[in-house]
Amino acid sequence: MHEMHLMKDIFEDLLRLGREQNAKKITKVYLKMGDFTEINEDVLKFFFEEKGKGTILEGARIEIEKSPMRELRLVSFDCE
Amino acid sequence: MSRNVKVNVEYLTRVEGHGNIVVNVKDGKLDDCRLDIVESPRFFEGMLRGRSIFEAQHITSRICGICACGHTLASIQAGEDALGFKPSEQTIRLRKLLLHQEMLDSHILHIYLLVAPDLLGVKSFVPLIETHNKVVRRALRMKKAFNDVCDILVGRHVHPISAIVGGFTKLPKEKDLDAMLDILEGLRPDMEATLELLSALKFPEFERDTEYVALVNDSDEYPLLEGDIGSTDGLRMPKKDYLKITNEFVVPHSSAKHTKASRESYMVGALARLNLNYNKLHPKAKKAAESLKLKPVTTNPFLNTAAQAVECVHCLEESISILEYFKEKGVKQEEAVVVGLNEKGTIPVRAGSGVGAVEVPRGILFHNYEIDKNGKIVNANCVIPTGQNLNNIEHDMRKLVPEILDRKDEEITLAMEMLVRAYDPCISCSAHFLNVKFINR
Repeated sequence: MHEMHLMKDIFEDLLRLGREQNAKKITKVYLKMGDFTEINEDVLKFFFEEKGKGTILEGARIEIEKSPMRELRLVSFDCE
Repeated sequence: MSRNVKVNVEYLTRVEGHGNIVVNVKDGKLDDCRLDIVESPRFFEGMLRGRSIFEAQHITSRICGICACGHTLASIQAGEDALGFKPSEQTIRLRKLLLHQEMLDSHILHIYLLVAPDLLGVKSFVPLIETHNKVVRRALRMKKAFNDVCDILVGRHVHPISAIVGGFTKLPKEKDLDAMLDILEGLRPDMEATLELLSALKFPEFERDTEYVALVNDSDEYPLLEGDIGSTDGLRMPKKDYLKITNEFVVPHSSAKHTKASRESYMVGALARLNLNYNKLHPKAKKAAESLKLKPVTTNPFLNTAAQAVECVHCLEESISILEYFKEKGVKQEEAVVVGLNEKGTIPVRAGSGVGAVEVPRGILFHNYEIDKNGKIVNANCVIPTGQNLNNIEHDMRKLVPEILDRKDEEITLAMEMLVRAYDPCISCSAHFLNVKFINR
């Protein structure tokens, strides 16, 4: 029940940050995700794929680095 | 041209569930300050509709993995109230023992794993494994012990199975009493060490007078399982009138409803209980309160954590007393009762409405069920402690921020996080839903 809002937060933050950077497109998102985050990688990717349609996040690739801790970190993103 | 933008934001915090603190400063002055609760509503009240009153406690227990016993007990109390069933003295005593275990388990979790990292200047309890190994081991040892007692008493470490409307399906035997007593007595040194740790930590200085709400009674007992609703502003009413205390209202930025009673907000939880019922604490707990410089009325919300430690001492000593009582008098095994969904009509059923009001770790918890003549739940309402505290947290934030506005952003952030954390909020529990009514449709 927590993951939906976490993903939404990251998604919305990315849209905002992208706008601040005057980005036309976000091509790649780098996340760090711990083993105990209760978030399923496939669900997260599906969420971005669907929600991203028609936004600067459309088609963005999600790169997930595993971490042993309970963390979910938006590290950086590539944009054009 | 492609470029990489560094962000580095962490999305998981040390509270249960999900909330955002929003601080908006314009021209050096605080413009807006709020605690956004964006956790999805849970619809538990909706799930209860149409279910038997005899299974309600197994459903509501799942509202929370930390307050599972509290929800179970509030649920059972509301059910028995609706049915007009009076539990035996032995049942009440065993329920108190169960509630004590949850109080201990949850408070220890909060003190050690959620608050101590702040006060020791680290991000989470994980780095403490290296630097404060003994402390981490102690915390986990204590948590395990209280869970084990819970397992012996009600058949599960977390969601109780034998506590039901009507009593207990299985009662502790002599060897069970011995095992529980052995575990709990063995924890006294750890409890001493917990107090020592807390007296060595420095809590932030901040005062805001507010209304404190908790159960009150006319006996000498520190009320946790039973009592009237009382407040430091002089309110007192029977539990059935709980809506007059909570006065829930909706704010746009929170999926959990806010509450208020005599003034703009009120606080529930360990500090509220201590402020209202200080004199009824176990003598050892009172001594602990003195050593932590807590006395009624304490208006620094950061000290809620210290109040929890005092309650830990109280609950540990009371648990031992209850077990010693049963060791002396014995447990009447013939009182064990299996009700199931009351297929055999073991408990007489009538239509009615009932309220459960129980002090759980984060404050006073209300369950209210309306049942039909067959014992099916027609309507349910649960008012969770964190929901009641949200409004008070916001009022605290609005006073705290201007006082520390000259500090660096990171310091303000930490202070705000620590403030929210002091309330030990359980946001996933407090987000419940409101009926939607369509007009002109």
